[in-house]
Amino acid sequence: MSDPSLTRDQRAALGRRLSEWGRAGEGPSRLASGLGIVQFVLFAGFAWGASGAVAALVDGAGPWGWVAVALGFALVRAAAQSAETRAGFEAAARVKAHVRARAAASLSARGPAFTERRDSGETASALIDAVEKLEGYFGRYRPLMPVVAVAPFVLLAVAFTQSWVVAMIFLVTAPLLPLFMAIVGGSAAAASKDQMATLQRLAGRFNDRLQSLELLNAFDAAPRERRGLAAAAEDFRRRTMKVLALAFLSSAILEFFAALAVAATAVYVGFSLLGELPFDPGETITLREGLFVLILAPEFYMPLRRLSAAYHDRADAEAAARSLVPLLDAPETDTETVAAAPLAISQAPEVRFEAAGSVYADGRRGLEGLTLTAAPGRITALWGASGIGKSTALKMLMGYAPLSEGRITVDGAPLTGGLIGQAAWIAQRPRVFHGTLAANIALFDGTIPAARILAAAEAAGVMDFAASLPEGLETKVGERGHGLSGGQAQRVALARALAVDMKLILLDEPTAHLDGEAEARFLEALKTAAAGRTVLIATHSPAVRAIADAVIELEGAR
Amino acid sequence: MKDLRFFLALARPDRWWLRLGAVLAAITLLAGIGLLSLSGWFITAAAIAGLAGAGRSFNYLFASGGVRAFALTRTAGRYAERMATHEATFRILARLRLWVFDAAAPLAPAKLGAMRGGDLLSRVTQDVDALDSLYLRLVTPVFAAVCGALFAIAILAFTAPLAIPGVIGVFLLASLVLPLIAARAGARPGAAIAEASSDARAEAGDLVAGLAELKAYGADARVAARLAAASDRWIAGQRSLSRLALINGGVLAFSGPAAFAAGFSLALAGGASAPVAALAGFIGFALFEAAAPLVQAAELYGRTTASARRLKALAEIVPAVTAPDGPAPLPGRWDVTVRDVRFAYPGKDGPALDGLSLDLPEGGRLALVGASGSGKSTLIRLLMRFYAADEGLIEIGGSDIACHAPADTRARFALVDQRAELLSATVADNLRLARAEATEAELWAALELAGAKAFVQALPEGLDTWIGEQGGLVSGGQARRIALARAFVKDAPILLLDEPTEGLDEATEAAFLDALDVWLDADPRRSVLIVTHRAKLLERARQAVVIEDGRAVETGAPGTLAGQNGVFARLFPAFTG
Repeated sequence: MSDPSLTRDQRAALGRRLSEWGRAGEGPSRLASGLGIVQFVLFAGFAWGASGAVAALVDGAGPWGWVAVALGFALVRAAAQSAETRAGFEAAARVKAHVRARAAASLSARGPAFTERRDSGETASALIDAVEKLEGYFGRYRPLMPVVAVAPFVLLAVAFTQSWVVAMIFLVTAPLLPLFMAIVGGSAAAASKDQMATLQRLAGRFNDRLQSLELLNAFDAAPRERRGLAAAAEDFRRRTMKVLALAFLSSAILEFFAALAVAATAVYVGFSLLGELPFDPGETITLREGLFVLILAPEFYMPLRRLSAAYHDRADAEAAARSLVPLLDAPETDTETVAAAPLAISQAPEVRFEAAGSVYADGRRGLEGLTLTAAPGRITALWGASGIGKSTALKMLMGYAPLSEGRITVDGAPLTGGLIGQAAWIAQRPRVFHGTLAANIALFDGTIPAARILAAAEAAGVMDFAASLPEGLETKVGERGHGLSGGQAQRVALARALAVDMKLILLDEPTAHLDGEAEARFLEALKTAAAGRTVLIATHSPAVRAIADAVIELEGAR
Repeated sequence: MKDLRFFLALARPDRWWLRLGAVLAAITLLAGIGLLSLSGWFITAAAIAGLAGAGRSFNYLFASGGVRAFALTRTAGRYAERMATHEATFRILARLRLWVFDAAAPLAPAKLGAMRGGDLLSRVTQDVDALDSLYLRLVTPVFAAVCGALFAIAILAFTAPLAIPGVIGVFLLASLVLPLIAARAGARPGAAIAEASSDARAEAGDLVAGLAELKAYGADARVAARLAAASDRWIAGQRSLSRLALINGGVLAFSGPAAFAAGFSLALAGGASAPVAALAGFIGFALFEAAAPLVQAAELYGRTTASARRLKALAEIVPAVTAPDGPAPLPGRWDVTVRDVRFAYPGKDGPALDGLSLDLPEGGRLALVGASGSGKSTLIRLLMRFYAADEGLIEIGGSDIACHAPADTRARFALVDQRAELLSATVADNLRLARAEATEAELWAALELAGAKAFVQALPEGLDTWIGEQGGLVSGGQARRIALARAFVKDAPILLLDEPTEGLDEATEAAFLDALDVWLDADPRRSVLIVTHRAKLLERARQAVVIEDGRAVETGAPGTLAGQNGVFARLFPAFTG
């Protein structure tokens, strides 16, 4: 079962991950396995009743008691099967909820330095789609493993009491199956991983192009992109069919052996009853025994067939685990927030950089030897051309960029982690979250009173446009600020800072995407909001520079 | 059902794959029925013959040959069926994706603004995925089940006619009545699942893309909790669906044996011999292989119809601008004339443009100034034919743009809008968006003009560097310069620049303006329309139009306007020309 692109260690590591996640659904999973095994015992009961009915008939006795026995077993078996499915679902549901929550927690622990380096569509898709892909594995595949290991032997033992020849037919065909399936399944797993990557890229590309339709239309490039998408979809189909050609082969082999076992059993039993066997098996078989094993024959392969049908579940889960594991891994050193007593800021702080520099984990240098003092209660502008390290300086304060050289102090205390929860962050393009305007200002903190949200919205100039919206602050705004202009989104971001009364506000080129009018309006609100707060702005806008109390010029690589 | 039929029609080009798959599915099912029922009959008949000592005269060649033939047919049939149905499904899925793209493309941007980005994505990936069950799990199983039932009736009609109502009755109950009940009950959780998964997707997007802001406020845990809540709602919806599956599955598991009993008993009651009664029982039992997929199809029905309905709604939106029938060719000249244009955004109260008139002749350099919201960007959207004017006339070279295909009109303009949006693709791909056949030398020339050459050269893989979503790897100013370069690559006669130097430092801005001059001077017919609030850009304009409340209130050379005591002078107090 080797996947050529995965080393044995990697595979084992993925398996360990899956087992670890599986613990969240351990109880229901075991229950499902138990019910799965019981079903096959109950099925033997049904076969016993059904064969008894036919045999009684031939013997001239009344078949109805046997029919009732058969139906009774069938009924209990149906109930067991329902319960098994149910338990499997619960096992998968628990694992999915657990993994999704852990991945989200891990992402927020690792911070923007991690997420900014990856395509955010792909990362979000891992949280949603990859987790969803775990369902089959934990709901079906894993609970089936014990069933496959036990149930065939139960049926084999039952068959042995009836006819050793038929039991041998079962036994001889059975061990070949896992072998064939392993060969076929291994290559299917390899191809499936490939397919998952293609699917993710495909989804990412579709997402991006759909979001950019205006741009595509402006350049009349939609037909061309359509061709590109068509080629990608075609590529996906071809790859997937390659996977399936192999995956289906394993079920075809099973199908073949199951059909062969039925045929061989029927022929052996039939000829034996006719007394026409070309050899002497040393046993005589009755009609009841013959029918009994005939009904059992297809069922003997059922656990393996179910496992084969669920085989792609495992490949899917491994592929999903591969895209999830990077999100769940321990934080890299450059993003690590050292567990130290966090700095608490209760009044406008003084911020000092002393020859502070930043080098990311991948070797990129973000900033070199910056020294500055931002006076408390003042607006300090970091001035310089784009790409010079202004944003990095702000990120270092939050712990979003590593503090590799020198030191930073806040009110004299050295910064060890980041100022998480202590400073307001206003980005170039603030994210407008999926929810109401009010929720966007309070950032979903239900404890902030409505009056304070309103006051913050007024002070930040949000009410200038919110008042004319149909539902005011209760208006729903969504992904990427549909419905909000850049200037409006900036004012919402400013209102956030005011609603929680942050004493330190960090702004990363806040007006880079605003026109002069919107910039002026934003700066006016900012000036008012800055009272009693320390404000640090990275910018190259003269208008922003004009409102700053102090300007720090960054030059060259520092 | 109407919505589903629409998507079934979409599959017409691939109908032969679908038909092949359905026929193969039916063959596989028939072989299964044949295998089990013939075996049952054979054993029972053999037992009777054996008891009677007539073993030698029993014709076993037919039976044993038939059993082996059925076994092989079944194996091969199943494999071929799966390949054919999946081939059909993936072909149709690709078609469906492109259909969605085609449906959405003409709507951008006028009619897509109201929809969340997440929704649109959810539509394509989730709904398209949901619809795969339409073909694979609905069409094929129904056809196979009908064939199987007819086959069973045919055999029973010759052997044990009285067993027909028993076998078919139980089969119909389990495969038709129950699935329909399940379908009805599944519609609600189906819709809830679609809703909850959209929510979860939006929350996940918020958490990932807004992490810097969330984390600063310590709000990341709250959004993570919202994600968990949406995920729980999603799983709860799936649980409701799975409960239906339980009921269905349980009944189904019982129905096979019940059909065995019904077929067997009724055949006996009809006076059939023991082998024939066994045959009837096994037919009923084997036929149930066809019932399970039907039940699954019904379980998915709710989800599928909800997806089909939402996808179809997309196609029913009328684009804001459509190409006229028999569009006229564009004239050779490209003077732009705007006369008394009025336009209001749908759903907005006031007009965005209220009788705007202006001229941009060939070789013109026109600056459009005014407070934000005065209508400057709206004019660009009308020129680009993203929207159509409500009243008034826009002409290119003396010909009404409404008479031309929107694509032809757009070909005359190269637009750099405020957002300077980049595709998630390589730098080269982004530039070639403007002109697919542009050579590498042309790309570098355009980058140089836009002041982006040095920075692109410094990228790890130069032109082939992947610049992420919204230009994630490049800064705002760099993204703008690439967007400018893209406009140069397009080589259209009229440049439309909406705040082109926003986010650039002064030195870069000056360099850009020099480059713009070079580009414009290269062909005296080239013209430019610049929307700006920056005085620096006005220095290079020959004409300026001041817009206020959707109307041109002042027109003239910037130097002249600065001398008058009007709106221009108020907007640019320091401007001297």
